[in-house]
Amino acid sequence: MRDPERPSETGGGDPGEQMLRAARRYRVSESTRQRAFAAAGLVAGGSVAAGGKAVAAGVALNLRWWIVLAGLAGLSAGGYFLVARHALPSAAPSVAVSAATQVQPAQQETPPADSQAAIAAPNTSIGDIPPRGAPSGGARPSAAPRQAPADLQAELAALDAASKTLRRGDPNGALALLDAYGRDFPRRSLALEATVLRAEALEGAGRHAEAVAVARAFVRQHPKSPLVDRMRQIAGE
Amino acid sequence: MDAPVTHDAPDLSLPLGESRERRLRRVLDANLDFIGRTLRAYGVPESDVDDGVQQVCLVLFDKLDRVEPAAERSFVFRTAQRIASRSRRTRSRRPEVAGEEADHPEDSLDPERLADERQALDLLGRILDSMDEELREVFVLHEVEELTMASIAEMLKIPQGTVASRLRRAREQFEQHVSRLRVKQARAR
Repeated sequence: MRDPERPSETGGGDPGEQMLRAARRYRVSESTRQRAFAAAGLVAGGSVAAGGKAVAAGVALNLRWWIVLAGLAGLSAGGYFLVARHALPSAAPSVAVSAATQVQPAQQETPPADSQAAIAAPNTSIGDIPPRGAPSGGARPSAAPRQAPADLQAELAALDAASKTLRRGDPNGALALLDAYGRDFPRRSLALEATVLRAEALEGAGRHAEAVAVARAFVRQHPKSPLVDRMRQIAGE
Repeated sequence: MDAPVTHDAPDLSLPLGESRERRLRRVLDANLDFIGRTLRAYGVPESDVDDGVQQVCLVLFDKLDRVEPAAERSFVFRTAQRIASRSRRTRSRRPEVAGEEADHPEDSLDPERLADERQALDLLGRILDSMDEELREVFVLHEVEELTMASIAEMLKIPQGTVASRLRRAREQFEQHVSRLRVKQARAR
C-alpha cells in the first residue's frame, strides 16, 4: 500500500506545516537527557561532563534507594518521580513537579494493554542469572519468577539494617548483616548497593586492603556505573 | 568492554549486568527524543516534559526485561501515551487551564506566533487532544515520526487498511483546525 503524501510536503508556510515541522524538529534538552539516564541508573553517553558525572555518582545510590523505598511505600510512579526530583540535581531551572501524573504504583503497573502480546513473560536478563554459589536446581534462569515485592521489601530492610549499623559506627555488625543478606537473598536486586556498603564497612572496620580489593573489583566490573566514583575513592584511584 | 569478572570480589553478584545496562542505554539513546516528541504531541507542555521523560524512563527501567526487543519502540510509545494522558488529567484540574477551550484551541492563538516552535508545538498538542485516541496515535506516528503505514500497522498491531482509514480521518480533523488558522491569518493581513 502506497503511503499518502504528507501535508507538509505540499506547501510552504502553512500553519499545519509549521506545527508539524516544530514537532518533527523537537529534541529533548541535554539536561533532560542526562537526568533520564541518571534516573535509569546510567550516565548519558557513557561519559558526561565532570560536574554531571560527579552529580550522577553522588545521587545514583540515593535514587535507586528512593525508587525502591517509594515502591515499597506504595507510592506511584509519579511519587517515584517526586523523590527522583529531590534526589537528582536540577541542571535546568526547576519546574514545579507536576505531581502531575498520578500514576499507578509501579510495582503494580500493568504494561500498556496493546503491547501485552508483545511482552514476553520469561525474564532472560542477566539479573536473573543466579549468583555464584546459588543453587541452580537445574532450572533455566529464564524460567525463574520475577522477584516479588515482598522479597524486595525484605531485601531492602536487610540492607537498610546494615546501612544503619554502619552509620552507628559498627562496621563489623554491618558486615555480619551483609553476609546474612548474601545468604538470604540468592536473587539479589540490590547487589550493587550491597557491594558499596560492604566496601565502606570493610574500610570502617580497618580492613583497608580488603576494602580496596572489593572496590577495585567493582571498578573493573562496572566502570560505567554511577556508583563507580565512590568506589574509586575507596580504591584510592 | 568491561574486564572479566574476577574472584577477589566478595560473594555478591552484580545482577544489573552490563548487557542489561547496554540494552537500557541503547533503548534510551534511540528513543529519548521520540519520547519527548510524543509527550509534546500529546499536549504535555514543555515545562513538564522533563518530568514525563523521566517517568517513562523509570517504567522502562522497571519493565525492560519483559519487553521483547522488537516491541521496545511500541512499549516506549504506549508508556509515553499513558504518562501524557495522566499529565493531561492533572493539568485539567489546574485552575489556570481548567477553562481552556477544547473544541477550537486555535482560536486563542495569534497565527503569527506559530513561528515560535514552542508555541506551534503547544497548539499542535492541544489540537491533537481533541482527536480520538485511535486517530491521534496514527497521525502522530505518520506525520510527526514519519513512519510508514506498514511500520505503524506493525507497531500498533492493526491492519494497514485500518491505519490508512484512521490517518485519513485524522487528517480531515486536523485540516479543519488548520483551516480556521488560515482564516485568522488572512484576516490579520
